[in-house]
Amino acid sequence: MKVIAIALKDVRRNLRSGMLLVMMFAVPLLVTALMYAAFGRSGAGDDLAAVRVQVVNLDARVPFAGDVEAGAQLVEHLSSPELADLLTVEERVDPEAARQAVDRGEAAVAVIVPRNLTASAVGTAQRATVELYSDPALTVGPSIVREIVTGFLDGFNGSRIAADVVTRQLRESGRAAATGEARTAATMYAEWFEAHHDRPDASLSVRTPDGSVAEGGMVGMLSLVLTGMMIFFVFFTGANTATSIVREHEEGTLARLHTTPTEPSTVLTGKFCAIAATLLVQVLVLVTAGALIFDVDWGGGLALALATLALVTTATGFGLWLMSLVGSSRQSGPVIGVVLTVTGMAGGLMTTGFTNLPSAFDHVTLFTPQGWVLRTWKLGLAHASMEELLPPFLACLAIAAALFALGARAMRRRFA
Amino acid sequence: MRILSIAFKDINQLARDRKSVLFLLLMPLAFTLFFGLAYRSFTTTGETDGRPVVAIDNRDAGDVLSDDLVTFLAAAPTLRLEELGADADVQKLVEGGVMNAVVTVPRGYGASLLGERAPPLDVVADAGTAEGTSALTALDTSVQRFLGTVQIAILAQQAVGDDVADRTDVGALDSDAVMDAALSSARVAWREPPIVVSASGVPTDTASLSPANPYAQASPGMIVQFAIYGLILSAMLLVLERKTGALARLVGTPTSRAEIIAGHVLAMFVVVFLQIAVLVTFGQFVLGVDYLAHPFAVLLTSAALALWSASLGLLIGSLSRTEDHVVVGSLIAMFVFSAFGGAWFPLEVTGRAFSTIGHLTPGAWAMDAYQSILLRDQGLGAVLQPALVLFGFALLFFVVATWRFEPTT
Repeated sequence: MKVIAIALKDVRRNLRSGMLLVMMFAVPLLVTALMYAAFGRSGAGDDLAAVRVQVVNLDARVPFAGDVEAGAQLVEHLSSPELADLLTVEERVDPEAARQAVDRGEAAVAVIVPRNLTASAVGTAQRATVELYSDPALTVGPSIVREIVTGFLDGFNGSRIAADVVTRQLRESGRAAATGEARTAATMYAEWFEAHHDRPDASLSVRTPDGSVAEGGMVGMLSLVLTGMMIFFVFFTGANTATSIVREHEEGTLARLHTTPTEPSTVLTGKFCAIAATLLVQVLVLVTAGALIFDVDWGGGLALALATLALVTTATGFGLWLMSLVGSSRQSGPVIGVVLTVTGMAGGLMTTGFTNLPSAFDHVTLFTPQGWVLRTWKLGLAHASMEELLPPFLACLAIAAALFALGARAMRRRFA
Repeated sequence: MRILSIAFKDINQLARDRKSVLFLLLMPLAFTLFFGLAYRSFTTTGETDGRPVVAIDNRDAGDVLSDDLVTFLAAAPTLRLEELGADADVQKLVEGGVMNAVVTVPRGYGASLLGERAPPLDVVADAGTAEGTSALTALDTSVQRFLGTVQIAILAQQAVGDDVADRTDVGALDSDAVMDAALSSARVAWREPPIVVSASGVPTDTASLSPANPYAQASPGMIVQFAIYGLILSAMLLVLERKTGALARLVGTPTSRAEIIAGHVLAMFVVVFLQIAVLVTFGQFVLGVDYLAHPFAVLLTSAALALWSASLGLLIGSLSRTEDHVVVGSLIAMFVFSAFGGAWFPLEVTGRAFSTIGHLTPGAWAMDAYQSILLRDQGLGAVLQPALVLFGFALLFFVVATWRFEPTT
């Protein structure tokens, strides 16, 4: 009964603190909302701002090239309605003016079409070089433009190569001149290219490593970001609420409590229950908000329960242990700040949205309690089997028990 | 003189607080190092030469065209091809980043290329990662070119076949030999195509368009973030002075309200500017971020950022009634201005609306100025506009903060 009374008093105090409520609920949700606002629901790239492109077409018409005007066709392709969502194209006359526009940040890329583009495409000139002058501070926009330009020009390249190869093969078979056949081959290649180019999934069928068909994984990424933030702030709440022991010691209420027929272990158990209950409320609210606001699929019910238990017990144990190390409530702020920042970083909580970290980092995270908790949650999110989920879950319980034992021992010595 | 006295008192008080070292220096340094390491994985791909690593499992080995596909991909300059081991676990290889993509050539693939429509190649890659996307782009271009090569060989075979059929001076056609020769010619031709795309003179087949040093994003990003977060201490001083009545007592002296505000703002400016100076020095000499290429541009940008941050600190201090308000206000300001300002990730990778809103916030102007210096190698001229905008924001925040400033609770 005393345990419950102590716990209830602390929980009430915790939930009345506006600052703690902001840190418990508002900040993790705010960070997730910012990521959601930045990258949208369906995945990065779907709603990117159109890349501003300056095009300078210096290409000259070539006699006997028929309808081929490679430069004009490239400009037309870049300005086509199909690419309007991706590119905003502005034509310029002077290459230097286009480059300066990029330098001033008015455009991401300048595409400068050389004078000999058509001539090179139809085989009357040597190599032509289309210049992409891009803003070095950007990566995505220039890559998109490069991909589009290269893909389009490969049609001309293929036609020219087709004409050259057919000419060579006919010569090797004894024909002296093969202009007509070469032109036919170039035309047929162009028709084939037009039919195949830009057809999604024409050449590759992409699957993710887990076997599912590849698609935008933003919901997954948001789940991971929210999970990382939730674990970080649950550990923060655990440590912050555990300072109540130090604070009550300083204020003298702990000493007064010890004059009553209340065992020190009862006080400690009450404090432990208060922290655990506060954290449980925090996790439940964040999990519910994640599911309702961000459409997070937290995995199966049992997996979610195990992950929640792992998080609440480990954060509680960690908080008690951490506070057993601080000398005064004045010290608690910096200690919480430093220890949680360092272990949170090393535990991978700040980089859950980074999908291509070195694999060795996965092992580094396991040197921290947060790393084990994160692993449990990640497995739950991935709908892993119970066989996979149990080892990290048990590791979390073991860590929690060890931290609680260490913290309780130190506190009993100090405050009893 | 009174302004200097107030500023000196604030700075002195902060310098004596050991928390200052933690919040103003150690945390930003740790975050810069950490996020630089994290960004490194975005700016470098593959193990050694910057190209994505692709493994191939040719289950149609022995077929001329399937073997030719392997040869074609092996010669592609945009990717590095490796054979897939006999008992390799594809999922682990891709998830572990050992391979950026694994391609499987199914049985009968080569024969199907001569038919109406070849099936797509099966590829395992994580399209959600930069390395996976890079591998898929390189693969798609190369496979398209290979399919074009086969088409060219088919056209050559037909042209020679038609020609031989029309002529009486040549014997029977060896179709396979024509096909092989045409494939070989086309393959060689694709290595040096007649039209190339270059990144300002450097062929894009081998050049990376990514900034080489990941700290060029992490270092200015954390400068902007912690310039805001560092205000937590300065704004706290203001709240404490109000709570303890020190501000009210100060108003009772011949010190004017303007002098009090100016003194506190000056202290905040000096603290943030010194913090930026330390982070810039750390970036320059430890992380290899070349701030000193344009020292005056860095100075102007840093001064503008520090002044805006100081005004924000004054605003937070003016609006806050308790220490908790300061912590919450500083944290929310840090998260919002850092994210919208592009301190965590470049705004170009974010959605249209976010990017548009972001470019209206002060953090984005500061990031833009630093990136003009670090990535665009531009000097004072390029940072004038961002600096003026930051000064404008500083003035706006200052006016609001002064209007809301109350010496008593």
